Amino acid sequence: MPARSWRTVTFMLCFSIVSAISAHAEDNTLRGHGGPVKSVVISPDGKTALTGSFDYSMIHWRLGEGAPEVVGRIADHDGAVNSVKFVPGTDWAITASDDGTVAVWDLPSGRLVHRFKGHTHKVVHVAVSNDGKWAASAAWDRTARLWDLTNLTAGPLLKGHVNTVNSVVFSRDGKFVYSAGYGGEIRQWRVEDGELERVVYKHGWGINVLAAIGDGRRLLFGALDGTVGVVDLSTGQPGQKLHKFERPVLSLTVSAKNDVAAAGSGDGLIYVWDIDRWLPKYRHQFADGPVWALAISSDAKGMYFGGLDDHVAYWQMDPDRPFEVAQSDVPRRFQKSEGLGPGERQFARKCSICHSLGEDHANRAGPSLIGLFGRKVGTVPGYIYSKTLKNADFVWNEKTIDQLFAEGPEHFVPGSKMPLQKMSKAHERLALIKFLKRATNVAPTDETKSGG
Amino acid sequence: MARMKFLCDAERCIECNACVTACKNEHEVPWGVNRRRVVTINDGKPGERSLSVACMHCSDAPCMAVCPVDCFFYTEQGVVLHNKDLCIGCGYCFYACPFGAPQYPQVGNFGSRGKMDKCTFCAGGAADAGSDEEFKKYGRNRLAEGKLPLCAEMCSTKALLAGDGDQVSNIYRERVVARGFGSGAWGWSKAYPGGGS
Repeated sequence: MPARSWRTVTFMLCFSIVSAISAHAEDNTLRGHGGPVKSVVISPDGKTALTGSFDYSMIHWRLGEGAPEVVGRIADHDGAVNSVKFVPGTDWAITASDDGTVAVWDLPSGRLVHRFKGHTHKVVHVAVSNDGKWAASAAWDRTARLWDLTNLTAGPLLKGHVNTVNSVVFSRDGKFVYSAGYGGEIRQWRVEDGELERVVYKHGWGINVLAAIGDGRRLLFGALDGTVGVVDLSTGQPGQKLHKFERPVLSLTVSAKNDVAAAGSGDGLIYVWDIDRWLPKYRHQFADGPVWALAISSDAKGMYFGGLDDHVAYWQMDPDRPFEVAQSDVPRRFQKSEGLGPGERQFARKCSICHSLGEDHANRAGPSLIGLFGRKVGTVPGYIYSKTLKNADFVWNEKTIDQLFAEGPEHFVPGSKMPLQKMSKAHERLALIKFLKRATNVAPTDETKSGG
Repeated sequence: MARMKFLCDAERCIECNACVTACKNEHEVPWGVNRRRVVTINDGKPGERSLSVACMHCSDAPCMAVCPVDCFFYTEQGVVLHNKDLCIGCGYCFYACPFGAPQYPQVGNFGSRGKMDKCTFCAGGAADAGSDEEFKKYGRNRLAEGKLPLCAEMCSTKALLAGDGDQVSNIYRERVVARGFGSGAWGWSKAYPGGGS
């Protein structure tokens, strides 16, 4: 990699500079999620953005002058939202979730247009054709699926991968869809009938992410062995290996004008290339964890990226302002273990990623625990509960909380959104309960007492 | 202290799947989860090779780098284990592991996140060694009993080697010298950069 070609080399060494975060960089940070962000996309006109998070929600953002604003937050999945996309030619957005569904949303109203069901495992990626007529989803049930967005019906099932499918993209003309996954193959399928056209490329190592380059002739892929490569669709040959990260490639993006591409890795490195000549353009080292989500701003001067933080950071690439990226609060709330009492540590490590102790839910995957003791189950206003908890009839107290973690949510409240979380040791449960009694000690309102 | 490592000699693996069966049986691994599997490349063609693949217990494990809740840890012997009490089943480690080690059982209601499961190098997990809790969550702790992983112990051709990295490396080196070639230590340089032959 020629050193002269780098326009920026960023290191997180100078904390005094880091602390001098400018208003400009702060203004562009997308703050609003309550969990790690897995997906970010910018609308073609650059005026809005979508993000999907571990907190079970999608957020629609307004970008422009000043700080980004939350236009709407949709939290109607029963699992993490792994991938989000705009649907061209409509006001719709589409989401793919750990709950196995792909959902179409009307952004102005926040209304669910349709929920596609059919996958039998988590859906990890979604793509939409340029004409907005088809969506494709990649899932860990070893299949990809096509969804007809005109008639809102299921399209062909794309079956043939021998392991998880991680990513899908459409060809420029919308006639084909490409899929890749842990098996390391890029497969090309006909949209019309779902037939396998050919195996385009075999990388050997698993492929995590695909991205289409606008000329319709090439695909970008990012792999488990750290390779970022370009595949020529006419020959199936890897035209160019752009970079070999030390860690797996987790995210890829191409700018709206198809002039810039970027990849993010498991160790927080972001590389940006000039597509014309595939020359490296920028490099940024994010010190605090993996880069799961990447999107280039519409003017190709900035990069939005998300990882384990609740926010999506903005890095101004041109002119380069690498030290102004919003910093992570490390260790994050769910990574803390030092200096905490036994109960507080249980809460921090096992509960805080999904629950807050504050007055609001902090947009986390689960409801706030404030006023937990004596509260009827499923009654916190503003939180969308599962049917199980809506219909349950008991009150949270020492006994029921102990039961919850002794038996596990899948047995105590089967059908709830809560993931498996058991504490087999009685003293750990007792410590947690003691801490929660202290930390959530706010008298429940009349409304929640009566089940409102 | 020994640094435990796996090595699969592709020149010797005969795709018998005994290692897979031994692992399933020893740890009573639930249906749908395979801590170890045998992969065959160029099946039925010249150059066919098989490999037994599981968690390689990497020196600088990429799964650790992406785990949001820091549930992974190293034992003194370099075995990569994880704490199932902390795991939130997010699946992020699957995207980071070159060897496809993390497995996620389908449990409970649809969409619920099952705890990740993976090869433990027969070293148990984050529970008292030899306890029922350890066995139920992680499987048998053979290392605590002074034994090596059963998959390698069972391997009839000794394609799969497990144990102290230096000894494993020496055995493989002797084989390469004896047969005059040695391209079969797949994954070794990926899992143990700078630490293997």
